[in-house]
Amino acid sequence: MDASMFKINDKNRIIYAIIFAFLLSVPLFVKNLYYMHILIVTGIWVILVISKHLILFTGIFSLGHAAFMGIGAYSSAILMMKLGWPFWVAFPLSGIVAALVSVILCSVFLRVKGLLFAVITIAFAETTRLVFTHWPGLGGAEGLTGIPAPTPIPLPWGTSISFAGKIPHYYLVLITAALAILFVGRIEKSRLGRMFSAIEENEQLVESIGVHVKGYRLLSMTIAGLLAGLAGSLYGHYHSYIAPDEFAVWTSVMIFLLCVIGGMKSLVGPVIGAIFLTFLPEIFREAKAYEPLIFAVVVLLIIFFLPGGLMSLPQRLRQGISGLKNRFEA
Amino acid sequence: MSLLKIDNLSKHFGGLRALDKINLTIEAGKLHSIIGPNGAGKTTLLCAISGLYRPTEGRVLFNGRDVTKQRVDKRVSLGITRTFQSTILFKEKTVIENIIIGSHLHTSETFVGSLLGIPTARKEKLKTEQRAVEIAESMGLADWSDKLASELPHGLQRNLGVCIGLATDPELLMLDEPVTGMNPTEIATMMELIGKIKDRGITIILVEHNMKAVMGLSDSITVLSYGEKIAEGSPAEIQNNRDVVEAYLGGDS
Amino acid sequence: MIAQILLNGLTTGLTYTLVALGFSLIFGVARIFNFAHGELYMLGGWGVVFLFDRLGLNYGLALIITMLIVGLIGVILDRYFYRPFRGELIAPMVIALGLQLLIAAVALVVFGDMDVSIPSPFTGMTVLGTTRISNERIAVILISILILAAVYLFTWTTKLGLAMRAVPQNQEGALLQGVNVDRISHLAFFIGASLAAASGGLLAPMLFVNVFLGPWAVFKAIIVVSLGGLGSIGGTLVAGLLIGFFEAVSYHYFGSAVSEIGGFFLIAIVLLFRPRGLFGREYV
Repeated sequence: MDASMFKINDKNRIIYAIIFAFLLSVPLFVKNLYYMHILIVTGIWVILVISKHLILFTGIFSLGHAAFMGIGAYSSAILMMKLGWPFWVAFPLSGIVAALVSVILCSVFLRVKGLLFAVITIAFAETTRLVFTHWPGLGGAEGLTGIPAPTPIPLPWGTSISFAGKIPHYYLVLITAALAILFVGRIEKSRLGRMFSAIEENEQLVESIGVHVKGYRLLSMTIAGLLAGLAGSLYGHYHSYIAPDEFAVWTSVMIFLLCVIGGMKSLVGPVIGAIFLTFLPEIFREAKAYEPLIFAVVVLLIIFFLPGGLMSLPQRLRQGISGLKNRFEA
Repeated sequence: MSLLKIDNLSKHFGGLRALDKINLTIEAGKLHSIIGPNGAGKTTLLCAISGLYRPTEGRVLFNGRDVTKQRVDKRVSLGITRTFQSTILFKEKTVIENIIIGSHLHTSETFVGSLLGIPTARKEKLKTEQRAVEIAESMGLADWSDKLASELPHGLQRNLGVCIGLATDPELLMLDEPVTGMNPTEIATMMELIGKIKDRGITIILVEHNMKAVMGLSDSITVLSYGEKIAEGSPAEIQNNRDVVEAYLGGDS
Repeated sequence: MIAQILLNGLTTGLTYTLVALGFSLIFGVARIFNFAHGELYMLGGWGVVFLFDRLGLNYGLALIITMLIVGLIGVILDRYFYRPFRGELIAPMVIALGLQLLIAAVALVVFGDMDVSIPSPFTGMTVLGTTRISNERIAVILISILILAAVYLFTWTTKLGLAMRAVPQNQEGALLQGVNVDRISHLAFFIGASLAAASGGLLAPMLFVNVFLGPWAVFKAIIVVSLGGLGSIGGTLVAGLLIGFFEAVSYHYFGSAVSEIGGFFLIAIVLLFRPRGLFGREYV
């Protein structure tokens, strides 16, 4: 019952506000470009895992999440490069495109459930990857290069915020991620979230009391698709290069596993998972080749010994310590 | 016009005739029991009425309206709700939360309002909680409101199932074997609570295996055996019906 | 030309059937969605590379030994990784994914990231009418059929095999009759894993081997099993062959793009309208 430590109640709100204020001020004292880069990449992963959490919260297991990210990335890039639209139009539109694709496809896909649905999402993800690879004008298997950075924001006093450097990217990603967390967090706590959670817990019961399960699932997938698409757009315009293989099934697997590693009881878990992923290579700088191995081992260790994910570590330790105390006092 | 009319309903599963040309009429405000030995088709009939099964032939009419092709959730919004014979609950949620989910069709707490956290939405949520507490009390769960559904003793878990059904504010409540597996005291309590539900004007269909339990409360009884209706009438008539006695002795009750 | 295409389709189709059948057995009997199945296929390829090419053993012997070793690895996976979570839904899935990553990562460290080609153990061509078919292909076809026939015989005639088939139908009933679920599960993994290894080992001389083949192989298996349905060896065979033929034909006429996209697309359509698959006896 100690996940309450991470719920958004009044006491925790202050803590989160402080953390956010701290993050806002990071560029003031962190000048190392590499660390900024890591933070930006983490921020994009955060948006992805948060949106994944929403669909897990609704009891849906999908391996096509990265495909929506790809759709957002490619849409955004095309809108800017081929149609010449400014980033501030392309960015939201790319999310909407991803959401639309999600609605249209999932209204059909959600006819099936469980594992079969997962298989269909695999087929969808693979098909999308192949489309990215073979559709003319998207750069083929090598990918799309030269994606422009976000259009500079004109300021009232003449100059403009240019996205040539990392700092504006950092704020863009930070604000989007914060909004995503707020948005999904509010959904999960609202009436809508209650329905999602009920569907996840007992689909048969929920249907018998008049809930149109498929409709709610569709909504969940669409919102998640929107967020994944936005993340894709940020990804593309930051790295200025995207390739089809970056949005394949294994990326969806990673996003899922990050939620598992971090813990799924609340939104804090996925965020921890995202942080884990980007800081992992840092911890094992020397042994680059062993990185996938470490990751795999961590996943297995978590599921065997810490099923609640890393976020449950404090609770587990506390239980362990009080367990030890009891042992000695008895 | 009767509340519910089943017209020549059949349900075949491949070669198996689970239900064969069933005709049934239920009047509003009554408590009607459907009994029969195991495998008679009672639950199948419930599933056909609630919408889980599409009948192979025949029609289901509710308040004069043909609902045969309607989805389950649509029928619930029309007023037909069913509960389950095994305990199917939201085990990881509290008793009150369980009932609140059940009342989703009848709350004025809007989705957007709830999402934005505006005061009206919060007021509505409180109202819904209030109503949930009342329903819990009516089924004897007042002391368990904030406990998790999984913590309820087995005997009371069925009560919660009925509460969730009541939360949908049904016109017709169908209870699937509510007292199966209960001891006589529990049966008496449950039947009393069901009686109170009937007093509130809700029409009830009771599917039960246990003939004795339903005798006292039913206005009328239908007896099924091997998918067919073999008798129908008042409790007194059914009790003295030879075919019924044979069906039960021939089965494994 | 047509004959050539059909033969190509037959060859790949049969190997797909092998790996898919392995996956189907594991899922049907042990109820595990073994994402790591593709890695077992990959290990099969490496086993043959090591034993046949590096150590110079007879190809058939290399194949059999590889199948046995990988089969054992399958049992280890079940015993130490999957067994603690029998009956659960999400945990086995996570473990499967974790195992896939683990095996692929270990393989990367051990074998490196290069592609490896090995010479074919069956050189030369045979002429059938107007077509010329490489002996390698004939060997693959024959060996595949042999293995499939062996599996079929085993599951339909031996006591153990029948017990294995009983479990998915009725787990409680099987338990009552004294069937040891763990044993049967291990058996399913043993056979399933060795089938995957066989598939990898057979295709190794024809294509190449590297440590990244896992995901591709397991996708193929999933596609074939979804198309053919669970619970039917014949169904898996038909589905495997269908996919093999479809790929061969569309690759020849339309190129790789269409054949790959088309394949997935078709599967999705079939599954949406017939979730049980073409010949399935139970729902996934």
